[in-house]
Amino acid sequence: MGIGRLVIKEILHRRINFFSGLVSIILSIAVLIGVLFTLAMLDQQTARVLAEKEKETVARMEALQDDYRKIMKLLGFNLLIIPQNQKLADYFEEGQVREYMPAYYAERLADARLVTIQHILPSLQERIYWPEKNRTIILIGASGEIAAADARLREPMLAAVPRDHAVIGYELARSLRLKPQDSITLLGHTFTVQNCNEERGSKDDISIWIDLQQAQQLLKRPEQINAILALKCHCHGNDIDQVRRDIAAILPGVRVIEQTSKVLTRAEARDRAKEEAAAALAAEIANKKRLRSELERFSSLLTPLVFLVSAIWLALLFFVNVRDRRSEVGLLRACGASDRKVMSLFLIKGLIMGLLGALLGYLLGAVIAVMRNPDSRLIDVVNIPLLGLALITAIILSLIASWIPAFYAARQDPALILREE
Amino acid sequence: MLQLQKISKIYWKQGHCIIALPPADLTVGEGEFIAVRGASGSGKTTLLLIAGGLLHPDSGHVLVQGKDLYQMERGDRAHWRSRNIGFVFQQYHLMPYLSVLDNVLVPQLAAEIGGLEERAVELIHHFGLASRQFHLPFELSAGEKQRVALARALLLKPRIILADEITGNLDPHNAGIVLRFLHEFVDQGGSVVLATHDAGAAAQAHRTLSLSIEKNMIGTE
Repeated sequence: MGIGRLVIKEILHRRINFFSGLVSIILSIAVLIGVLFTLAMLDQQTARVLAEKEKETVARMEALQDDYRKIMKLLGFNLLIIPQNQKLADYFEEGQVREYMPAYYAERLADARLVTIQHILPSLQERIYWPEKNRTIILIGASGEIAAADARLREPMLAAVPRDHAVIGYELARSLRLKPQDSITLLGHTFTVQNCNEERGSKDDISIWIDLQQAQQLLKRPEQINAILALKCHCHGNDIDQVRRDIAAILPGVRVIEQTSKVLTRAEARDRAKEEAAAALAAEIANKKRLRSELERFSSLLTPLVFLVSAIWLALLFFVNVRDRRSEVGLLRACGASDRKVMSLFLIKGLIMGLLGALLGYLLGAVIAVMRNPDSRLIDVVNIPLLGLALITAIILSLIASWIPAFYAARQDPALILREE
Repeated sequence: MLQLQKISKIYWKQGHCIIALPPADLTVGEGEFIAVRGASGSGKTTLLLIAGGLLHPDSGHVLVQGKDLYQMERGDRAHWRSRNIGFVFQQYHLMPYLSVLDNVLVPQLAAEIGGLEERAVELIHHFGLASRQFHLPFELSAGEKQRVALARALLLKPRIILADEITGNLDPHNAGIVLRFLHEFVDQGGSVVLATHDAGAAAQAHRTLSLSIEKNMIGTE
């Protein structure tokens, strides 16, 4: 008969004592493993949610990017090129450019054949007093479009105003009752009304468009312009800085102003969507981290407490066991058993209790944790590192709890026991 | 074989000194059957425990082949006990969850010696317990329990049996059987020290050591 057989027979004989201790270990390990499983699953869940959300965001951004490219291709965006010495504050306040630059700038820009610019419209415009009609108007001299880089992309933009003809803004046409083919006199020169514009709700409504050269003569600004409108500019993304740099390299002493377009609005919306998605993702991460932190804090209090109570309970049970087995200990000592042998009776029992408790506690904790998590599968119960941790923890717990009672048993005076029993 | 020289034991209880065993001498030779007589509390059990190396005397020496038993290390003393002494008690001290066979084999566990199952079975047969081999102690009669205890004491072939009131719980028939087995052991060269207050049992010994309840009279008949 080996000591293992004796211990097992004793366990079966004093079942209540053993199972009380076993339940205590099972619960301790179940709490530990349940908490660790839950934390691990929370981490997995967080990682999965984040991955999904990141995937969604990337897909959405790609869709927006694609959309943006298409719209960009169709619409482009608008740039206004004006002399650099024009004060922007004055421009935005008056809506008028008061400085001038050479008219050949438009041709130079066209000759540069920038693929990013489709339409080049030089203009000379001034707010003037129209003495013949006693009112203030904006006179705009426009030459029509200058040939730009890529002919394939080009489409009709603005027709040039023929010499001696004028295009009349809505408000002027309405108030002066002008219609196409009417004649008007402007600064002593006669023009035929070519067209009257629809209402635009802007300064265009009080503007008159004439041929650029005629405008230069009337305004006494020969070979000068004060703005080049670059329409439907194309560039990748919304990176217009490159366009600005390109223009600055060709036309020294100009300033490039970006005019808000649908494309930019869309691009900004896309950026905002990206920022919102990132913010939502960050909020999700923060929420998961907070949950994890709360669970960690709770378990860092609960788990040691459970283990402490369990260790005390186990030690008490082992002391009761030692007391119940005084006669056995006395007999074994009388038969020549060493201290080590007597201690091993209790420590082996503790070891068995720890092993069983670890396995059952692991199963209980893991199954409960997996069942509580709808995303988990039963196979997730198998986690070798956690099983190892459960085994080590349970064995340490049971050996610590049984060590002192076992030592006490080994140090009992056999003479006292045998005389009393 | 075993020599007790002026051994004594006292206990202190609530400030009072209690003499558990007044100074006593006893020499146990090979093949001797010695009875230790005295009323309850006279020190019979104390003497047996000291003789068996389980209780350190307050004075005197226990000599084994010229060596003082209590000068040995604790482990060495346990080892000597396992090879030389067989204890038998009035209360049997059988393990309740072990069968008769396993109970007989307990000394093997304590002494860490293997391969004694055959001898255990032989002893069980010898003591008339063949039909009880796999029974648990609660299924046995008092006489059977004491025979199991005796078989257990003999498993490792000790040189001395220290028996403490082993007939105290037995009827005369079973007491006779147990004493017969002790004689058999003595006839084979073993020695027996039997502590008893039973005059009939003591009468079967080669000699008797009497312990007085007054704690100050020790003599031999």
